[in-house]
Amino acid sequence: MKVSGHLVGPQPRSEELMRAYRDYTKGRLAKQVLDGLIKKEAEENVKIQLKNEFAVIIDGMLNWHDLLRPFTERLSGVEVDGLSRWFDSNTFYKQPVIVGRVERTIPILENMVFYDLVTPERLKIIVPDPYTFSKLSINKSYRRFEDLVYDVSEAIAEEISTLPAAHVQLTAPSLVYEKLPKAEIELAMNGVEIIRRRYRGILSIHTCFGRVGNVMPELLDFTVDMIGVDMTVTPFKDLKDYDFTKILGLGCIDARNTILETPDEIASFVMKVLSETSVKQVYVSPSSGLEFLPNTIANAKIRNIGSALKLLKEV
Amino acid sequence: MIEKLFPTQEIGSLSKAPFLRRKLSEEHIRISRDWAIRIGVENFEELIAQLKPGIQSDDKLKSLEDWASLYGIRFHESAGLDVVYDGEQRRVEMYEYPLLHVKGFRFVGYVKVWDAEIFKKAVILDKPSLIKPYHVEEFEFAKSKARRELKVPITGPYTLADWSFDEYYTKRKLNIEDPIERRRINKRDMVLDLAKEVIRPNLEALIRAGAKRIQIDEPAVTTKPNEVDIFVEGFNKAVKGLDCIFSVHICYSDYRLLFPYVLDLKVEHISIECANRDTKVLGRDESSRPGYSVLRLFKEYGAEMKVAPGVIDVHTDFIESPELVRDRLLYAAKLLDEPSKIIASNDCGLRTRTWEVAYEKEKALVVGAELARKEFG
Repeated sequence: MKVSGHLVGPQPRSEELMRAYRDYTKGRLAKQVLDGLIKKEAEENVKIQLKNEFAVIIDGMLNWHDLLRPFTERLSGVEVDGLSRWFDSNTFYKQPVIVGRVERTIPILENMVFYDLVTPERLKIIVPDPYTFSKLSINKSYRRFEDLVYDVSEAIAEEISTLPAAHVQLTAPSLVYEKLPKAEIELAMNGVEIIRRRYRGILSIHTCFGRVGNVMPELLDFTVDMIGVDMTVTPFKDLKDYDFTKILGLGCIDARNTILETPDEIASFVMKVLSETSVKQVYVSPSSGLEFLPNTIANAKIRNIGSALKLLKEV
Repeated sequence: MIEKLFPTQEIGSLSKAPFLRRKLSEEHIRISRDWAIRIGVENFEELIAQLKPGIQSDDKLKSLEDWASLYGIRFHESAGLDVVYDGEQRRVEMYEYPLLHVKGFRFVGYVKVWDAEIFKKAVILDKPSLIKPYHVEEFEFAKSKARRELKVPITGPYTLADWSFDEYYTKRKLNIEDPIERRRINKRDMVLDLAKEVIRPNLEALIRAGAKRIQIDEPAVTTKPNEVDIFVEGFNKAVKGLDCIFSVHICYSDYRLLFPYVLDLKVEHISIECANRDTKVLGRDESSRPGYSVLRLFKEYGAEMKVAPGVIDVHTDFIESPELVRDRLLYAAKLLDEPSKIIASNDCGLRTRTWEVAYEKEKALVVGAELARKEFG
């Protein structure tokens, strides 16, 4: 059975890298030294994914302070505000403030991704979905929220169209964190459609921090190739009611708990999904980025996914 | 609390006393002497005589903690606050320090909070139990020195639970398919166990030692909107029937999520952060004072508790003028429609500010509260 493994968000920095960031912030460490450590750790992140036979590879996003930050800092019309809570976690992001027309006037991910570590065919770039980015912003400029979403979509689409990566993931917690009215889901769908028109690679959308049940019918209509679901908050029965035409990302590895899912448990769950639902193809992933865990535990979870993939191969 | 309008209080942590540092210089010793004179630390020459430039050992630093605590108390008293503590001079921080005294947890490593800010996070592996009450010695020293009313801060059960990984409760077999409901049940049991087995024995020990006023810090309570009721249940379980005045401090949160659950909280007052969301212009209207609009909810819901809105922003070096403090207090009183239910406070502990800035801020709090009082004759 062919099942692949994916990471779906930032990897945790090691303790050494965290301390290096603190030292750099306090002026006790040179930028060059910090950059060297980041690169070294990105290489280790790539290595562990390759070793565990993940189908697509991310570089770990170690130099992203939060998922929105490169866009918050580099999009025209956006300024960086204070801290805001990242959904229901004890982590925070710097909130974008929309102060003018949102446009991509400079490359956003330049120097943010280690393109040399992974071949373009296997490289996955993770960015915020336009609706989520807009929803998490303070809008001081647009009269209509939908116009903001469309401009953010255009800007992200333009950035993605320049990237040498065969896989792009739109991370979309705002689609599932709270129950959305239909019109909002349609708006999010239109934003993704704008990206789809500009990007020819494999496009996925990953939902996390909320139960997917309420939006699953609409999600299946999004013009993406894969849909990722946070199974730590979604009951299994939510997957049973629909006719799946897309590849399903099974976010069944809890990215916010230290309990290690065993390879047997992971493999059994995949088998259950494939036998009891209409899903035809899946990939296994953590429920979100593993950034909420200490680095050593995150790596143990990756190894267990790898072992589960081996078990499934034998089926 | 002192029987006057707008009594003043500090909220918790202060940065460490100038001599409580690993590497000590002549300059630090000079600054320590200057502060002692400025805030009225008695017999400070004994301390200064002990201080030598160079690296201070762990034992040496430990031996200086009483002095640091005394400095913290005099710092707040000399600024003129009505209710004081020692600026948590002996504590590492509000999560790691308590858990070092609790069985059932194991620290597993550092995680990011934002950017380069990290914290050492623990996992709960067994039912928690208290090894030893962890604030009593600190309180007894403070009690022996304080000239004003004391308020002891302690981290609450919900925050200890929410900031930890849970293996013990999650590994139980519960026959519930909905993972959100399962997580809620696990969290509730963890919070209630911490309230009963860890926080309550601490509170009892503090009360036996003479504590009359305890502030329970719960910054995590609105992290998960569907668990606010669990926080209230845990809090009330911890304090039930105890003879002491309790308050709760909740900062940097979406306060709308507290309602209506917070109405059931068994507290004298709730301390919240408002100045951080406010403007710096003088005025007692909505456009000048957006940071205080949350007080409308307390009024609308008929909350019986007093409210301690932060009128001092602890995340900036900007020194609030007494007039700004006055206007913030008066506007808060207007929204609550009951001035006697307003307590003048900081948004949070002043740990991130220098002593110089923190002192000026505390003095502005005191003078501003006095100006507000004058408006009522």
